[in-house]
Amino acid sequence: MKYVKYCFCGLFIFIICFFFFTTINNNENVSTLEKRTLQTFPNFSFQSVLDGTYMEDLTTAFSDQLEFRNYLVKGYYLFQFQRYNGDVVIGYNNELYASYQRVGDIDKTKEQVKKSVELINDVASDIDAKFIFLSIPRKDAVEKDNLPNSYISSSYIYEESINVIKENLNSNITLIDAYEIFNADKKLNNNRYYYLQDHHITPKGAEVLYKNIIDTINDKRVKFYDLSNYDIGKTIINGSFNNQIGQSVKSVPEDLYIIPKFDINYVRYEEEKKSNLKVYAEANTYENAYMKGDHGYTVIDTNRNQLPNILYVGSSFTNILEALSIPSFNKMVSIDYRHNKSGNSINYYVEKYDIDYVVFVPSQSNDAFSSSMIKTHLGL
Amino acid sequence: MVFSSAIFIFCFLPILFFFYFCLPKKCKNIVLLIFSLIFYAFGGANYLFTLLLTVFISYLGGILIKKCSKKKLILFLTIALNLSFLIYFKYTGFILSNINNLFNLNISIPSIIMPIGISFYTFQSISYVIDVYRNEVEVQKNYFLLLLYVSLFPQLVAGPIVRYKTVESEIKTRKTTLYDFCYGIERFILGLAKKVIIANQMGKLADIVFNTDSFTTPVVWLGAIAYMMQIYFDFSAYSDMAIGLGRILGFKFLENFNFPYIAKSITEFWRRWHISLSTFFRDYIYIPLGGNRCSKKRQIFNMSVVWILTGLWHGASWNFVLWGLYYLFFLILEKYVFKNVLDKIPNVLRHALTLLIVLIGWMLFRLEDLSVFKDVIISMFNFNFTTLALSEARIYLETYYIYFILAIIFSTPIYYIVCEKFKKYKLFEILKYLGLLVLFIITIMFLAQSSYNPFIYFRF
Repeated sequence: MKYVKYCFCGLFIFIICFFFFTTINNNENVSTLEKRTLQTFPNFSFQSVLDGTYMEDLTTAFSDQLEFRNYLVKGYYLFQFQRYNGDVVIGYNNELYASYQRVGDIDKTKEQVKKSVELINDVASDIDAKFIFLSIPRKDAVEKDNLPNSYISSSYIYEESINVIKENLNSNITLIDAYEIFNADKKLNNNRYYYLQDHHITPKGAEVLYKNIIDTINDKRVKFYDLSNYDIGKTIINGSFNNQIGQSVKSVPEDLYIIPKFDINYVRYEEEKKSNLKVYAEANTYENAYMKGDHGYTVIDTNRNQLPNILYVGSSFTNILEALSIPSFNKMVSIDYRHNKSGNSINYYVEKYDIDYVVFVPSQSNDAFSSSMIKTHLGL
Repeated sequence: MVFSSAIFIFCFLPILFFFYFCLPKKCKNIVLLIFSLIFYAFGGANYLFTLLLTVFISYLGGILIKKCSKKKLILFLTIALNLSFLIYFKYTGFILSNINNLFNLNISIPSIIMPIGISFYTFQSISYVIDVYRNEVEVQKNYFLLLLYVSLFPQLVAGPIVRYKTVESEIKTRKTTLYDFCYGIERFILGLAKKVIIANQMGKLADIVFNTDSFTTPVVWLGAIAYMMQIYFDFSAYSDMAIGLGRILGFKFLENFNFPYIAKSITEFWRRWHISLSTFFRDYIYIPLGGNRCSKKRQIFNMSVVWILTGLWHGASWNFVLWGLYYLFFLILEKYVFKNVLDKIPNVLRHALTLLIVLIGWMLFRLEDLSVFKDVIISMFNFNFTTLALSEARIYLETYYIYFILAIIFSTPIYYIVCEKFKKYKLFEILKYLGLLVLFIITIMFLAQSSYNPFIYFRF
C-alpha cells in the first residue's frame, strides 16, 4: 500500500508542477476561442504590489495563461450535464440556444414593454419618414419544438410583450413581427431562419423579413432582390453560442455569406470618411460576412438619386438586412447606438440624408423590450 | 487568493512545497510564515498591518498577563483592543446607519473595506489570550511564532477557528508522514471538488432563483435547497481544504463540520455545523456567563447573548441578528418545551423537521431585505403550481439533478463509510486514489472554465 500512496502523492505533485512550469512560459495576448484579450503576466513594481493590482493581474494571468486552457474548457463542456440550462442550451440535434429565459413577474415585464413603446412613439413622432419597427424574437421562441416541452418561456414572454406593443404602438409606426412571419412561413416551407449555433438570422430568414419590409414600404421605385440574385456561400460557422461553450459541439456547413450575381456600385463611408470595407464577403463568421461587422455610423451611397433612402437603426441583426437593401435603395444609412457615441438623434440622420424609411431593429436578448435596452438602441 | 484558484494550486503550492520540504527543518516555520503572509497579501497587502498589529496586541497581552498582577485588566484591554478593529472594520457602517435611523440623523457612513478573514483571526487572537489567562497554554514568547499561528494560511481567511492549544506543540516541532501527506491531498482534492463542482453549481441555481423579484412555489423550493447545499459545500469544502493542507504541512486541525444535514434536532445541527465557532462561543461566552449551571431565566439570557453574537459575527445586518434569534427560538423550544415530545417523534420526521427549520433559516441568512424574505416564504407555502412554474422547475431539475444527487450523497458520511469498509482491499485503495486523481483533473476543467468562484464565507 505504501507504493500506491507514493504513486498517488507523486502524481499529484507532478500535475501541479506540470501546470506551474508550462503556464509560466505562456504569454498569449488573445484567446480566439473566447474572442477576448487575455491577461498577460504583469511586471513587478512595489507600487502595484501596494495597491493590489499586481496580485490581481497575476491571479487573472495565471487563470488566463493556464496550459491547455482551451482543451480544459472544452472538456468542461463535454463533461457538463447542463443540457437544457447553462450559459448555452443544447437542443435536440445539438442545435444551440441562448440560456433559459426566466418568466419572472409577467405584469412587471409588460409594464416595462409599455414604457419602451412610449419611447419609440416619442422618437417616431418627431421623424418625417415612414417608421418601421421590426421585432425579431429570440431563436428559442421560434424554435421551441427543438427543445423539451417544458421550454415554453421565451415564446410566452414574447407573445405577451408583442401584444402590449400592438396595443400601444402609435398608428404612424408599422410593426413587422418576425415571430408571426417565421411561424407562418414555417408552415409552408422548411426554411432555417436562424443559424444552428448562433443567435443571428440566416440569409433565408433575412430574405423573408426583407420581403416584408419591401411590402410594407410599398414604393414602386423599390425593387425586391430575392436570394436567387445572389451566390450563397456555404461554410462551417463557429457561431457565438458554440464559442461560449468552447466549440464543444460539432459544427456543420450552413448558408452564410451572399455575393450579388449582378454589379452594384457603391461608395462606403464610416463616420463620414470613405472606407474600403466590403459589404459582401466570403467569410466563416457572421460578423465578417455582412458589412464587416458592427459599426456605429455607416453610409452606403449607390448614387442613384431616383431611388429612396433607407436608415437602419439597431444592432448586428440589421447587418444582413442592410446588405440585402443596398441594391434596392439610393443611400443605405446604418446607425448602431451601441457604438455610435456622437450624441446625434435619429432625426438628425433622417434630415441629413433625406431618409424616406426608418427601420428600427432592437437587439434580441433576454431584455429586448426593456426600456433601458430600447433607450440605448434609440440613442436616447 | 482562494484555494480554488489556478494561481494557488499551480503556483503557490508547488513553490511552497519545494521550499518547505527541501529546506532544513529549522527553516520550516520561516518558510511557512513568509508564504502565509504572501497568501494574505494577495487579498490586500495594505491589510497586512492590521493583522500584524492584532497579533502584536495579543502577543503583548499574553506576556503582560503572565508578568503583571492585574491580569484581568490586561485581559480585558487586550480583548477590547482586538475587538475594536473588528468593530471598526465590520460594524461601523451598520452602527452608524442604525444611529441615523433611530435619531433621524444624517451622519455620513464611511466606506470601509473589511480586511479578509478579520472575523477569524480576531477570534483566534482572543482565544489565545484567554487561554493564557486561564493557564491552559504556555505564553508564546516569540512574536513570529504567534504570528505564524494566527496567519497560518490554510485557516487564515475562512477558518476553522483553530485554538492555540490545538497547534501549540506542532508549531514547535512537527513532521509529515507519508500517511499525512496522502490524507492531506485526499482531503484537499475532495474539498476542492466539493467547492468547485457542487457548491458553485448549486450557487448558480440559487442566484438564478433569488436574483429576481418574482417567485413561484416549485422554483423557490429548488432554489432554497440549492442555496442550502451551496452554503454547506462552500464552507465545509474550505474547511476540508484547510484541514488537508494543514495535514500536509504537519498540523492536525480539528474537524469543523460533521455532516450537519443528518442532524435530527437543531441542537444536534449546531453540534455538527461550524464546530470551531460553536465551541468558541461555548467556551469563551456561554460557560463564563454561567452556562447551564444557573436558573432557567439566566440560561435563556446566556443563550440569547450567544445567539445574538453568533448572528452578528456572520454579518453586520439585522437579518443576521434575526437569523441568530431564529435559532435561539428553536433551541429554547427544544430544550425547555418539546424535549420529551421530540424523543417520541420518529427519526425520519425529526430529521425532516430539522432540515425544514434549517432551510428557512438559510433563507433569512441569504435575503437581507426582509420584505423579499417574506415574499419567498409566502411563495414556498402558497402552493402556486402553474404550468409555467412547473415547467420552469422541471428545466432546473433536468439541468442540476446530477449536482443535487452529488450534494445529497456528500452531505452524508456514505463516502467515508465505504472507504472505511473497503480499505483493507488493495484494489479498492488503488481505485480510490485513481478516482481522486480523475476528480482532480475534472476539477481543473471546472476551474479553467469558471470565473464564478466566490467564497460565501469571505464576507465574514
